[in-house]
Amino acid sequence: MTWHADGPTLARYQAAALGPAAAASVEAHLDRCGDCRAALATMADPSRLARNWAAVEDRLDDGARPVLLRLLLRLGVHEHHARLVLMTPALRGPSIAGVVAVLTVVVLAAQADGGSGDAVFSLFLVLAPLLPLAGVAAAFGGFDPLHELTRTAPTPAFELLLTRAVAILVTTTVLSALTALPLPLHGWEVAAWLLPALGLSAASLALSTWIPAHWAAAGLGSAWVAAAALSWRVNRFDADVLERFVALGPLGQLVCAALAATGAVVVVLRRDTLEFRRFP
Amino acid sequence: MRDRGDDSRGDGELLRAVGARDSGALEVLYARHAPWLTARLTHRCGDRDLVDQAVQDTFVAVWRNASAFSGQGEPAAWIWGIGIRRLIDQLRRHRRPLLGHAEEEQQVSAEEEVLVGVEHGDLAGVIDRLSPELRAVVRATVLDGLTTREAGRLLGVPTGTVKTRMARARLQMREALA
Repeated sequence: MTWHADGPTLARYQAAALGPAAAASVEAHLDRCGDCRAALATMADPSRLARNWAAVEDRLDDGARPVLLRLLLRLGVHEHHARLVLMTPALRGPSIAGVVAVLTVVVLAAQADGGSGDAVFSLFLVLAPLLPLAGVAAAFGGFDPLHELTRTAPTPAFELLLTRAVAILVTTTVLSALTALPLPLHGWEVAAWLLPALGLSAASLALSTWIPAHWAAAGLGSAWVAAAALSWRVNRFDADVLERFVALGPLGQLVCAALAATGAVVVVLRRDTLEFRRFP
Repeated sequence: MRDRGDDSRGDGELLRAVGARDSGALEVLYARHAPWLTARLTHRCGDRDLVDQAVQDTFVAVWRNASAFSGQGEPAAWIWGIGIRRLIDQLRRHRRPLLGHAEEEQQVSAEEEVLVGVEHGDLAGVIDRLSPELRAVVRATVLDGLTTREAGRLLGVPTGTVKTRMARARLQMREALA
């Protein structure tokens, strides 16, 4: 290398005070010249470099990141959100296994039932909305192994709640949708549980701004099962499954949609109470 | 932090050692390359925190992907390729287009402009006379080796804008040099 950037030029470059063309030629040179890189290194702020190195070193041993975490990061989720989602109790291995088990039983029962599978289908439609509800209760009802940590996390409680609630809804919805596929259903019946699931989850989140989340979920879940059972008895001899369940029919769907919308509005309006609820 | 002088290994050799999970080798690489990377990224983005984050991300990426380095070409250029893209990620994440250009412009005194002109002749003058928008596009695509799309992300403008600005810059430089 015959030409080298001289000290003053490098100093001006370091201070971002060099004209664009000169800066460009310094950069082109730095790409190939270790000596000038070393000269520049002597001008850098050592404490800043040390700070950044410490941060790098901290992250070296998490090379063995879980596959799911890497997947979420690849999807563009922020690392702290991704970690939070993965530590949500409802999304940990055992809970997922429980959900999968329930749904598997439904599918197997449908296979064994043969015929129309109406009874199994009804069971599925009643059960599916309860899954996200259980997830919400587990995440926010004090069963959270991270309970103490999330209380003191610098993340806003509302953001915490949204992140985890969305993760729970997405997971249970995907699992339920997969279960619905092999069931002998027709038309929009397949998705009849979707709005109830959304309505119940939103309502339980809204209620949890007043009472503990697991009470809210338990109350709403019982109400849902009761409504389903009652409406089922009344119309048990109707041909159509959805007409047999008022709760799942057009009227029920409408109510659930209203619940979802109201719940969302209430949660947004009362988001500040979430901060206080962290320190009961 | 260890000093660069402590280690006589070349950058390529160090990268191979990093690939074999030698964190000491990464530390030497960091000592050699973090300073210029920080300075160079600072020329692209005025936000100190974002630059720091990008530098950290870069060396974590080097740690994870050192085995992807082909052994061909200059390791510094390879590190730069990672660094500028990590900075783009940071900017996109914080929805912030390139900052710092305006301040940078003001810091260049008339005296320095003249000096630069003497040092680099006409071409430097032509580049310096480009409007900041056009110059940023030239720098991103020509010097930083970014694709049109990446340049758009770095500068916070649509891909089409990058293309038209590049064409305009080319025209302006051709006319000035003719």
